[in-house]
Amino acid sequence: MMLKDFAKKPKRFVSGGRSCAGCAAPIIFRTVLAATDHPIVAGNATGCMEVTSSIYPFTSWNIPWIHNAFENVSPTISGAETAYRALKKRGKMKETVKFVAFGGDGGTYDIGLQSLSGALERGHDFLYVCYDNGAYMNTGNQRSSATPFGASTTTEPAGKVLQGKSLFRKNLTEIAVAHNIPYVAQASVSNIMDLYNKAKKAFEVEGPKFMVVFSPCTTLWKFKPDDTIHIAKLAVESRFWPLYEIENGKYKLSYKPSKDVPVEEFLKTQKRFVHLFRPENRNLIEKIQKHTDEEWEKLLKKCEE
Amino acid sequence: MFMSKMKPLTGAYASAEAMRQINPEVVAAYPITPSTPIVETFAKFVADGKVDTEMIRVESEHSSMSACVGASAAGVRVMTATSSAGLALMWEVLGVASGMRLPIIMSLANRALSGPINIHCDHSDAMGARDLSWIQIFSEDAQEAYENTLLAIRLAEHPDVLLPTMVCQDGFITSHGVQNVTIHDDDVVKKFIGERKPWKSLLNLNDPVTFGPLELTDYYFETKRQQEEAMMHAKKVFLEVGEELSKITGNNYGYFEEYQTEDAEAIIVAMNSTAGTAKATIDRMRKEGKKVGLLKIRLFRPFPYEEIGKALSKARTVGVLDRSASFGAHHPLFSEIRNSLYDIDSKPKIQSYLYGLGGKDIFEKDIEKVFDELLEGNTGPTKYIGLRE
Amino acid sequence: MDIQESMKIALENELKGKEMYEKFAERANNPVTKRTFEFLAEEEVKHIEAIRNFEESVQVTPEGPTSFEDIRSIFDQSIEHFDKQAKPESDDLEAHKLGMDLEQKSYELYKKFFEESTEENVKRFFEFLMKQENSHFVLIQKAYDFISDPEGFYAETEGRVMEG
Repeated sequence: MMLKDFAKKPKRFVSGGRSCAGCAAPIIFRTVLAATDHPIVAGNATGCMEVTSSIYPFTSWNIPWIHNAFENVSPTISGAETAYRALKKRGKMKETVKFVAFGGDGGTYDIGLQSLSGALERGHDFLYVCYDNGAYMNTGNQRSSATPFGASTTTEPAGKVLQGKSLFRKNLTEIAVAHNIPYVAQASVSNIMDLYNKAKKAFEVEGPKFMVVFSPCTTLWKFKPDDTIHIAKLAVESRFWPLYEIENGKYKLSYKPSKDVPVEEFLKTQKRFVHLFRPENRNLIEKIQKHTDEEWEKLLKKCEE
Repeated sequence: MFMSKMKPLTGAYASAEAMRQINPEVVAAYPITPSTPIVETFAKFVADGKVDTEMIRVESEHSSMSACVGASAAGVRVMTATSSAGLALMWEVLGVASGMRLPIIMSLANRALSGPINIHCDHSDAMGARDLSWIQIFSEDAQEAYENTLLAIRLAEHPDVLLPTMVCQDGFITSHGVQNVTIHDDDVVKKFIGERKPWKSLLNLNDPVTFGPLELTDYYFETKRQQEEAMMHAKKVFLEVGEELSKITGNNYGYFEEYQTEDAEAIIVAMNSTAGTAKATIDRMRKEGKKVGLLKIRLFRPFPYEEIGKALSKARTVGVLDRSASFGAHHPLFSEIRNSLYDIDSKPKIQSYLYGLGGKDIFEKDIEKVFDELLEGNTGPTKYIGLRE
Repeated sequence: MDIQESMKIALENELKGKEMYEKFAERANNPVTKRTFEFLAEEEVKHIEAIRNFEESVQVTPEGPTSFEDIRSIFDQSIEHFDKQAKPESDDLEAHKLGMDLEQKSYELYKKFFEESTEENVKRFFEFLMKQENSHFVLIQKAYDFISDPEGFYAETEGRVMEG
């Protein structure tokens, strides 16, 4: 599968939606949806992609799709998946159908965490894809537990006394791994083939699968729309966003950067971090670098690298 | 001809029997007292292979209604059960279910809402959800809980209706009380229930549909107007389905039951199990020559204002028994009854009674006192039954 | 390092800064860059005076703005006459970058002196300079962000409504 072959795939998520120019999420969606030839039934949590893809009477979805509320795409898709199994059991359906739940970091890390955990624990055969843009972006950049340390959001802004998010982000990938599900992966919009292959692998495995994908937000991280992929690349190269997968509990590193790119290179590209570059805040950048290095070492050990 | 069986059952078990006969493809439920036995009984049916339902043992009520929405949107029959705080927790999703026009059936074992926390019977849970476009049916006893559930599924799935429906019964009093229940023949019921024919479905792969889009100011109101229309149809369809069901069961399913109201001077309006207590009281008082009667409401949403107005018009005084409060306003049932009487020329006097909150018992002697007050004809502000002042 | 030595280095640093800023102000192609560096050149003059006074054993920490908020009006005034349609000249952008660099280095220098000194009033003096350099950095940074993307600046301050 070459990148150009994507164009030949049926258009499950069509163009014309209202997402911002330069948004990474539609790229992620199209890549994931192309990773299986089986029909897909999808659902979204309330968020950027749900709102921009489904303003009545228009829809971007060329496949069956459901939106329920903010925190419950996991049980909603659980219900659809169970209905499918029930119909199959009663001999009323024969096709193989794949189920995908999409959620932003808002609907996944925070308000949707409980119901995600429930669905993973119950073993439903579905793939959960979280597009992580590091805040509640649909409503204008409020802080989520996925917001990186030091980032300025509207509910935890940088000011005179406080300097943006005061805590490091929650590691949801590890929480998913703790559910003992067959497949968990971390991917990025900058490494498209890696993302595609991971989604493909996920679709071929039975049971609950979880992926979190790095999804830069041009509008609210504040960078030029053309730079989306470049910034995602910097996140990966600086080890801020490692690419790895866990298959049946075994860790595997997907990509090892050959150069030492300081995390500062990534931070300086977005205005949400601009206050960190004041002389009085430089120590915070050092703190981020230290944390990034420590997490990277931990990951290398797990991957036996 | 019919192979009905009479068994001593609790209301919960009777509801589970209805679920067994319906054999929905999916049940997604979370335990909460006193609705838990409904789910537990059904789970045993599943474990024993009496049904081939797929059960989703969700981790919260919010998730149970969410899973119901997903499954119903996927075109299958879905049922659930809950009470009180469980209904409160799924409140947000109730609106999604009705907004998406999904015929989900819920058994609601009425229990008081928190704070303070209380596990006993009152109607505050159902009343809290009365504006969410769910059809609400109330049941006097286990037999009604069972039969109302069978009625509900045909009503909800009717193409002119397509609204989720909750069948209520008093928590503990009905759900845990053992009564003689006639369970109708499985095959007869199956024939009555028929098959769900979903208009649209997530699993209809050739006709992909977007469920739950964002509607802005240009479409939301119009969609809601359609829901109102569906509720109006539900009123008509309720009677139609009820008539069909009565051919099987021999019972009647009107919007309400009139018990000795033809010449009654004082009529009590009540819902659920208190109706039974009232009937016993009426029987005794009638022997003493007192002209008293009961109007027992079965269909609360959509509310049959016209018909109730007519039914109450000949009484001198009407006493409305509310088992839930609307703080700062007229209590829910009283408010509806008062509305029903507005267009009646010579309307009876009307008295509001609040009783039974948090499961406080109401006895025959309490109802007798109410009738005596009503016969005297003095009405005033809300009266409280059984309250220790 | 003794006090005299550190004062000498500080003075050299400030003189260098003043020269650089005066040059930038003169060559500036847009009003924001011009006003920013004019102001900063004036501030360096004040620093030079403060250091000389301190050396002549007046030993008093001068009063002055220590945060960006205190000098915000300079920024607000400077952006009023900026032509949003004009693309910023690379010289101007470079000037801002060099300015930030200098402020950063000055901050680090004064931080070092602050940490090394043991006398209370010397510590207070360098702390004052640290805060001022920090606020100068922020001023140059804000001006730089503005001229690179004036639309983005107004979008941020004027807010937007999202659907959600």
